[in-house]
Parts: sequence; C-alpha cells; structure tokens
Amino acid sequence: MNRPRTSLLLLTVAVAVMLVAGTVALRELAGGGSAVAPAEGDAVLVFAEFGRSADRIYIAPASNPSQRTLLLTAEHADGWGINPAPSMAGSLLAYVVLPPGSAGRGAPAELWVLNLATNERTRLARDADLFVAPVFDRDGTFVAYRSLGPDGEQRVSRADLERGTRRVLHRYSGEFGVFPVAQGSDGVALYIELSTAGTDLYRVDGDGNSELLLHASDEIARDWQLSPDGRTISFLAPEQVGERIVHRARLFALSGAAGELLLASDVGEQFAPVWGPGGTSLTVGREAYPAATAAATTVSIDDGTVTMLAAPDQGFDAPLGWSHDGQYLAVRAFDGQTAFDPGTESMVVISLDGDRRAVAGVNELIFIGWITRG
Amino acid sequence: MGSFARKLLAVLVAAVALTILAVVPTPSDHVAACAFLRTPDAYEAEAERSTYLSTIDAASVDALFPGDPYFGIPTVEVGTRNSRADSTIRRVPSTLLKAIAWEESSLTMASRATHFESIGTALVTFDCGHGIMQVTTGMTIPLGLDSVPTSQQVNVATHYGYNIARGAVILVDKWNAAPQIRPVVGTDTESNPDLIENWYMATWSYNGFAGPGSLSSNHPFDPTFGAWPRPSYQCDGTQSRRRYPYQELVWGCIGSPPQQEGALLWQSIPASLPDLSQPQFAAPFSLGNWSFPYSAMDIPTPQPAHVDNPPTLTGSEGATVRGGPILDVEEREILIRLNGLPQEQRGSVTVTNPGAGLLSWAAETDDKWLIMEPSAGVALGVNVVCEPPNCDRAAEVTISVNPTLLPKANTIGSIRIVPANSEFPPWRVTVEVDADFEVAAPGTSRAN
Repeated sequence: MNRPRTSLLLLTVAVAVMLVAGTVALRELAGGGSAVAPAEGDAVLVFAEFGRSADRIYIAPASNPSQRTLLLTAEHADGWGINPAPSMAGSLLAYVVLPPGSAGRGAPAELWVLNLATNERTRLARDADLFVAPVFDRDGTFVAYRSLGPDGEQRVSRADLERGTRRVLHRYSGEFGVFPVAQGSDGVALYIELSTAGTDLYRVDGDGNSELLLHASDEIARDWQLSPDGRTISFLAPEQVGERIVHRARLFALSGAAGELLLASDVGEQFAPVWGPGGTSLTVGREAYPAATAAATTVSIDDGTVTMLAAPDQGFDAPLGWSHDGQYLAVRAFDGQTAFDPGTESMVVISLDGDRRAVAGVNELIFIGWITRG
Repeated sequence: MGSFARKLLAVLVAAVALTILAVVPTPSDHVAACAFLRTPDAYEAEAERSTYLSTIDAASVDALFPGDPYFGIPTVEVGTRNSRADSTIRRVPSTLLKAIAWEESSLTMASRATHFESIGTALVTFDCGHGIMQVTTGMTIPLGLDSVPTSQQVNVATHYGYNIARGAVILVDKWNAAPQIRPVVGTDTESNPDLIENWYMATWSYNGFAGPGSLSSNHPFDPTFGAWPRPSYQCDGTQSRRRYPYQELVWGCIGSPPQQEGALLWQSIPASLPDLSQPQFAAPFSLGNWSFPYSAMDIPTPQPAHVDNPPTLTGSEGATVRGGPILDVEEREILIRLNGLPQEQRGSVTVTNPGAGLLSWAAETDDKWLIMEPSAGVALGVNVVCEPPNCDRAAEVTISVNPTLLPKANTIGSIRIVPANSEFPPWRVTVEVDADFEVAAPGTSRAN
C-alpha cells in the first residue's frame, strides 16, 4: 500500500549491487576468467534485458548463451528501455536512453557509448531521440544519431568519439521524419527521409551537403544495414505479391553503378536482413506461413547460393547479427507464422553446426552485438 | 551597531525573500503553459484501483455527469464516410477506456510519491497531461478570467471522477472527428461503435495523430518502433514501450490486462489489430495517403471483431462519484509577520469537507503578492477512505508573501477558497501582512 520509500531504498541497493557485479564482470571479461568465461577466441554475445526502470546489460558465450554475466545496468525512465545501435564497433557499444525522471516520449534522450574493454562509459549527447537507434561507423570513430531541435525539428547529427565533438549534418522540419541509417569512417553519413512520395536515401558529408542516392520505395523502406565493406546497403521494402503486402530484402550499391538489385528467393515476407561478417552474403528471416516453420536463409551476393540455417520447431526467425567469426547468428525467434500473428518472441543463437540455443531472460531481450573473447 | 543592525536586517529581509522564492515554485519550475502555475493536490484511491475502475464503467455509459456540456459524453456518430450521422448513443467501450487509463497513468491520479488512499501532488506531466486520463486538451493554459484556472480545470486536475469523465469525452470527440478530419474505421460495419476494433483511429488520435517518422508518430509502419515484426504488447512491465505505437500499447492492455494484488484489473478481450499484410489495411496506411483530412485512410473493421458489452451498474456510481461535498474553512483572517518568527512569516488555511465525496477547491486571490500552496486540491468527505497517519481529510493551504511585490509594509489582502464541484459560495479569508522592520537609528549602538 505504501509504495515509495521502501521500493526506492531497495532499488538503490539493488542498483549498487548490480554496479559492483558489473564491474567485477568487466574485469573478468578483460582477462581474469570466470566460471562462465568462454575460451579465448570464442564469440561472446552482448545483450540487455529490459527492466521497468533499468535495463541490465549482459554478456554470454555463444556456445552457452544461457550462462550470462551481468556487465552493468542502464537506468532509464519508467517503462522506456534503451535503444542500442544495431551493431557494435569493436568493444564499443552505443545506445540512447531516456534518463530516469524524464517525462516519457518526446523528452530528450541521452546518447551513451560504453567501451567494454575499459569499462569507460561516456555520455556523448543529451539531445537524442530515443526512438531512433544510433549507428556506428566500422572503426568506432563516429556515431550518427537523430537529435531533437527546437519546434519539433529533427536533425541527423554525428558525434566524433576521438575529438569529443558533435556536428549537425542535416536539419528537417517536415511532417514526417529523417533517420540516420549508416555512418562511414570518412565522416559521411547515410540517412533516409520519409515523405508522401515514399522513402529516399541520401548521403550527407561533414559539411552538411546532401545528395539523393536512391528512391527506395513509394512506401516505407526499413531495416537498413550497410555492408561491412561499406559498398552496399540492404533494406526491406514492401510490395504486393498476390493478395498480400510483404516486405522483401533489396540491395543498393553505393557506387551507383550497379543500381538496385532484388534479392531472389521465395515470395513470402522477409525479415531483418543482416550482412555476413565478410560482406559477401546476406541473411534474411522468412515468415513460416503457410508452413509451421521457416528457417532463416543466407544468400551469397556473388552467386546467389542459398543456405538454410537451423529452423525452429515452430515459427520463424528474424536475424539480429552474425558473430565476427561467422559461426553464430543471433535471432529473434517467434513461434507464430506471420508478422501479423508472430506469437511469442525469444532470443536464440543459431550455430552453423545446426544448434539453436536460447538466451536466458524473463523480460524482453535487446540485442547489442558480438565481441570476441581474447 | 547601527550600521551592523541595518546590514543584519537587510540580510534578514533578503534571506526571507530568498527563502520564500526558494520554497515556492516559480513558473520555470513547471511548465509555464499549463493550467496551474503550481501543481495542485489530488486524492489517490486504493491500490486495487476498484474505485477508478467502477468510475470508468460509469463514465463509459455517461452515468457520471449526464447532460453536462463539458463532462457529459456527447452522442457518438455512426456510419461510413458518406453516411456518417449523429446517433443517440452515448457510450465508449469500457475496457478500452480502462486500457487507455492504464497506459496513460497506471490508473493513478496523483504522483508516485503519494500514498494510496491519501492526498498528494497531482499527476501532471511536462506536456500538461493531468491525472488518470492524462487530460491535456483544455489544460494547457488557465482559461478563466485574469488567467485563473476555471472550475472545470480544477475538477479535471484534482478529482478522479471528472478526470475520467473528461477523458471519455475527449475519446468520443476523437471518434467524432471522423470523417471530417480523421479516417473512419469500419467501412464494412457501418462504423459500429459497439465494436472495440472500430476505435482504432480514435485511440491513435487520443495520443496524437502525426506523420510517420515524426516525433509523436503512432503510424504502425513507422520504423521508429524498431525491428519488425513486433510481438503483442503484454502490458505487464516486461517490454519496453519504445517498440509500440500508442494504439498497440492500448490494444495489448485490452487483451492482456495488468494485474493488481494478484487479480486481473478487467476481463481480457482479444481485440484485433489491422492485418498490415492485407491490402485493405496496408494501402490506406500508405505514405501517399497521409494528407489532411486523411480521407483516403478509411479502413474496414479489423477481424475478428469484438463487442465490449456495457458494464453492469448498480445505479449509484454517479451519485457516489459526485458525492455531496460541503465547503468549510476554519479561518476568516490570518496575520503574517515578515518580521516575526519563522512560523509567523507564513499562514495557513484549513479546508474541510463535512459532506460526502471529494470537494475540489481552488485558492484564488487578486493580490499578486500572495502565494498559495497548493493553489488547488481536494478535501475528503466522511465517506472517503482515508487512514492516518498518511492521510488527512482536510487540506491545508500555506499562505506566504512575495515581499518584493508588497505595495507597502502593512498591507491587507484576501484570498478566496472556491469550491469547484459544489454550489457553495467562495470562502473569503483576510490576510494581513506586517512587514514593518524596526531599524535602529545610526549611532545608537553600544560597543561591548
């Protein structure tokens, strides 16, 4: 009946304990070894578990993702979890978060970068938009993010981690929105802009000069991801197939020479295309409908060779990211058949040898990336 | 000593002024654009939420304030775009209203620091959302004479019954915004308001009907909600709200009701969302159709559709919520001595309610140098649950003075305690202020 003080005290103690545990875990990760420490060179999954007022960030060996180790907690406004970059840059992870006490949606979020190798956590900005994930360049030099300006203005901004500076690359005050989708090591960022005409992909340099690269769709194109070599970008775009609207993976060569390519495969809905570590293949999830189960599929960009990964007993997978050694794929596994009725969600690590291992967690799990035990 | 005394007094006066300015919130402490410069107080009922849920049941069928132009539910329009017409229906789905209330405030009227079954600071968010239903419309600026909050604003901010009723009215207003400025849901069901699925656009609009990609978008295709697909929202605190448009949060709570003290707060209804893989839903949600007044965004009823049966009422819910509050104030006059002891430098007025239910009141004044904290609140009637020590039925208004605005050292002003939900006349309290500091004459001090 009397809620505030006891809960606050318990929360404070719990957070303190978790911080200590996280510090210990980081030291273990840096070299000490522990009961769950993977062997050197093994892939280690980094993920978070949502909590009502704080998300907990864990690591777990790919070979046994149920054995997780707490790294740290990220406190946030009640009910609003962190929004991490879709992949890490080496040992760096980035996320945006609504700080505790924030009023909720619409309030400015904070952009943080955490170096797992040094346990150094740095707040880069306090004007970020929680709803748009930040994105690293491959080297971890820059982080592109959407920031909030006055009077509802949206900005594609870029933080320079080495220089500790921030720069607004593009401003937008229209009815829809702009989203940074990729950041190059040369400082050039890619962003999309929505309008009544659909989705357009732009390149913007450090001086704020924008260039239209692609009209990606007359509708909303989504799930953009830059290839590891920075030469091709993948995305999903809707199209009508028969009597259904399905999202299909597409590729666009940034050189401009190759133009737009359709990824050939079956005709159903595809989910969350992710690049293989070599940049020569793309893995997509596929809806199970009308079957009961469907495996995620890896397609070779060079020759179109298709490889099926281990399928769930029931449902389908939406890929999250490959480990650096290309041995493990983290996915969101659903036990339903379609995007409209996906069923329950869990996080699973699929290995190339055909194993599917569930990541332990009670609440929503949030993929952050992979590191290599070394 | 004379010089020292003057300096001491100057410091004292400055300290008093600074103390008052520090204690009393300034407009910048809160959103200056909200109806109340200082957050009012409100009553928080029991943790089980049964009072609020039964009040929502009553509000959903217009049993709280029928006929009231501000708090009574307007008639609901029915029919498709070309046949939309007024009806005699004054009803919203009760379960939908409960789910919205849960999403907005976790069904709480006061701030989290407030004990259940007691009075505390009202729940007011940065965007002027007030109370259980987070009512924003009409609560962004004081609407009364001389920028004083109206009795309607006081009731919405302090009294759960009025707050819930107003939320229901706003939801019906959003429904009735179709087809003029909003899409119609239920092109194949005559937009029957009995079907909970037909409230999809009205629910979307309750939170904000903004373009995809914008900062307050609830467009279901919006990539701001992260990876696709997303599982149903479970409304149990295990998922981040970040991944869901507002209407999907509400739909999730309709189908998966939250629990309190081990019991579901309402009966689950597996309300259907639009199947976005079907052209009849995907096409209207096309970016090209996002153009005011959104006439190309009409959709059929998501299937399977569900009827939210009207709640069974005892008939006394409305009278219980309205109560029979009586305004009583103990003080007729108070004296504030700025040159006195700390407890003399402010006064207080005690507002009581020997009647039944909640008395919503506001403290008003024409004297700008008077500061009242809180400026509005409630006093609890004898039938309202209120257990000491956390709860006091009476409300205490602290009166202090902004010395920089005093017209002269000895001044008389007044405040009015105005009942917002009863016909009693305002209670006037005279406030006398003595700010006449005795200053020693120069050169009369004695050196020790």
